[in-house]
Amino acid sequence: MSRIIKNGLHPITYRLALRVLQTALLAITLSGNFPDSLILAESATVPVSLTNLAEELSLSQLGEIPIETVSTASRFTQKVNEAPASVSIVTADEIKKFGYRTLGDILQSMPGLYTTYDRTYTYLGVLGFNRPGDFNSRVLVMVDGHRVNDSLFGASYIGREFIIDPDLIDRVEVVRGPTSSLYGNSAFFGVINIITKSPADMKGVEVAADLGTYDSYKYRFSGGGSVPGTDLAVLLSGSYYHSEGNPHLYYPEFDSITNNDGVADHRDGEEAFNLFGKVTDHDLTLSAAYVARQKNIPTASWDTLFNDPRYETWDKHGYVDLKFLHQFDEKAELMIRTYFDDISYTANYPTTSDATPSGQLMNQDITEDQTVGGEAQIIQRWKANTFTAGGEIRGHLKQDIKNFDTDPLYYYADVNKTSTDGGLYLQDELALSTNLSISAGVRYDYYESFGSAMSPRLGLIYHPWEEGTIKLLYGRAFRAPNAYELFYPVTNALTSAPLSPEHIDTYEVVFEQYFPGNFRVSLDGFHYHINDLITLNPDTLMFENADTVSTRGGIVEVEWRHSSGIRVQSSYTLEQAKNAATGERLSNSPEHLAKLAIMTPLATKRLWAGLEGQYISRSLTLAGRETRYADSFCVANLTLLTENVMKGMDVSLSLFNVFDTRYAYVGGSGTIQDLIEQDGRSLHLKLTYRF
Amino acid sequence: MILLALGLRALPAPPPPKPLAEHQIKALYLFNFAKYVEWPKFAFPATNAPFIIGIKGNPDIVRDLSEITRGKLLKNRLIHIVSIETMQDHKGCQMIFIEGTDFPGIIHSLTGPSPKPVLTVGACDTFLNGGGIINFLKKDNTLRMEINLKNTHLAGLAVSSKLLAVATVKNNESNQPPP
Repeated sequence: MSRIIKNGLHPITYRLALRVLQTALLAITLSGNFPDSLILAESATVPVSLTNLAEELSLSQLGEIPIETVSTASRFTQKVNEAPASVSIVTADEIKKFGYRTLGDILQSMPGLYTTYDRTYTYLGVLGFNRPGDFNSRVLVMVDGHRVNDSLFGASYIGREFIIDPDLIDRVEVVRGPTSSLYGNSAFFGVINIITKSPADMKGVEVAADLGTYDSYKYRFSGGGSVPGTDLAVLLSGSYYHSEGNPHLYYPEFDSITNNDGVADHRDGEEAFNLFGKVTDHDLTLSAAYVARQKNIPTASWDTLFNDPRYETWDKHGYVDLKFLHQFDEKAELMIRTYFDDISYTANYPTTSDATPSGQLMNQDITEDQTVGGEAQIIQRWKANTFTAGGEIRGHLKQDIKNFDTDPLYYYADVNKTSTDGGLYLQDELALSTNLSISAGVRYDYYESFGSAMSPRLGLIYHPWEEGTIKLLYGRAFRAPNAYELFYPVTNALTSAPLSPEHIDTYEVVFEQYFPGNFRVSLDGFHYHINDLITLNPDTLMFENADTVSTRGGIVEVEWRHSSGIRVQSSYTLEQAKNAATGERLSNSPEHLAKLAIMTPLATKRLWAGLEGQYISRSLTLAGRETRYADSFCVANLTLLTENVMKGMDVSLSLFNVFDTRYAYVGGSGTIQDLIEQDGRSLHLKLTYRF
Repeated sequence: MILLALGLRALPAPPPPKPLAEHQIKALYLFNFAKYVEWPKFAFPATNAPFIIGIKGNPDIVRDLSEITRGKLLKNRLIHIVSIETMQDHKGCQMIFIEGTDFPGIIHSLTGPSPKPVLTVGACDTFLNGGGIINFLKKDNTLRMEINLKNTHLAGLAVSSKLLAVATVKNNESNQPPP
């Protein structure tokens, strides 16, 4: 991912950039060597790029290359990391070997990220920011470049409610950093792009069964291949998941005779149904996906009746996406895409009532978002530049938000809107010399609802010596107020005052170095400042651009790979996120995150062990709560995988929460519970058969 | 910069080539083979059908070739790299590389009374004798190639003189494909 986003140059950055540019220009003039292409010069010190070597080397030269000795042979197959951002990648191989079951599990292992769960949805925290009650609206989640965040809540889903079955994931690319200069809204903290497998990866038919604790099971049926006599390739997959959930959840806050002594009995069930299809033919890709997920909620959040089996949410999302991608030659690429999304949500809240004879009634949320959109992008190389330009436009045909009591029928909210928004962007990556490149970009977005936003970004990538990289990054991103914040009548007052988008300015310095013996070390220092954070004013009960947040921190990553296949990945993150006005630490924001993932072959290369774990330091609960902190904790997961135990059959055994750690996440404003306890140890067996 | 200031000549002598992993060198060679060999028209199912390279027994090469060929066209065709696992996977490939000794099955199905126009590349002493076309061999810690012209002609392929210039040419009349 090599777009750079530049949003409004900060004066210090401007001077710094100018100074660097002056030095670079001086260097170029003195060396008398202005590069006219991105191909490595002879004195290059950039890490190996096979693509460049393929262009440069003649056949006879190939016969002169010394073969590396075995100990350093399995060097990282790094894409030359010229991206003006911090990029982390998790591959399908790691998903299999570490037993990741959801996108949340995958993200939890990555540096700087942490997830929390309240038995309804899974929430992502980035660099210390995870406001309880948000729906991952400050991270843009995409599937093959298709935006998944809706326009009502800006929500993206990362638990079982996520639209793609993790078995279909080829890799997950997380671009950490403000990326609105390319992607516009939602790319506030970064972008998560899930790249799905291609029909060629599936090759035939595959069935999988995953059975585990809490009576959970998942069945998947997938198939892929090419249609004989044509250039079409097809991938189809369907899966069904069901879990009884934790059958016995005790909440002392509800401990009374009328409330089953505080025990939510079999109220944690979940069901999900996923469908995915992809058809490719040369430059065209048609893909479609669908998810329908139901969850019973045991926490009695939002004033619902405790232990009531009727309290549930339903989330559905379906989309169709047609993409045309054409490479003209090595210098130009055109992409055109058009899509349609339908995202709906329903929740049934059984609650108390003075108005009904039974003393109860059912309150319902129903929302629907229908969006049609199109985008186009051109990438053009010219001399030492790589230009990226594009635009997109989205029409929200339906933005419905309803909340009502069913009997007697009474509407608290009945929002029916339509709106349009769009953006244009331009970026250039310029190789100033063989080891210095600069990236600058800007995007202009227009929203019918609030007006416009500009998102610029600037990055400097420098390779001071072999295998080393220094990046200086600055970016500005925004989050548009969503339909819910704009139009939902929280009180009986008229709709809230005009809301502006939230803004984030991020400054980041990254050092990355590859050492002999296949070590990679990366140091990342960051500082971000958020303005105009949209918050619900507890007195007026209206949304307003009120808060500011400031964070400082750093990430250290060490990775080691061995030719035998052993891989060790570790990271430590320090994050100090504060409310900039009061100086108070944010809630649900652990100061320290430490992660470790070890993958190793056992005995033969067909048996693999994947051990991964996280340490999360304590975090503050919401203000005013009795329990001040969610305690620090350490959770580890172990997976054993045998590939081809018989021809075409893989078996894996996963033990989650190996040490049966008791831990809890901070509860949101909707729950009476200050902390939401999580599950203990669980065991899963997965069989995959290919034929 | 400093050298220029001292008045030394601007162009430094070319540095010795950096070592690469064996799979990377093989991937670079394979890319070149595709460029310097001519396939007959009927080797492709359609005029705009992609050029398919199949790799057996070396996932590193699959990755390397995918990187090298990304966004490139070969003789106006898109390039697909596929990993060969089962006996059926190699069908549809114009070029196949097989690591190790497990090649007789594939070579057998491609040669014989009606040979297929597939460029077969191997990395085993007995590969050419077994009916293969190009074989990698190690010499002084570098990777070289040998080519069997008879097998090339049997497959209906034409090889550019650029490729012949760097290869050890074998034209062993006694090569017989396995029964």
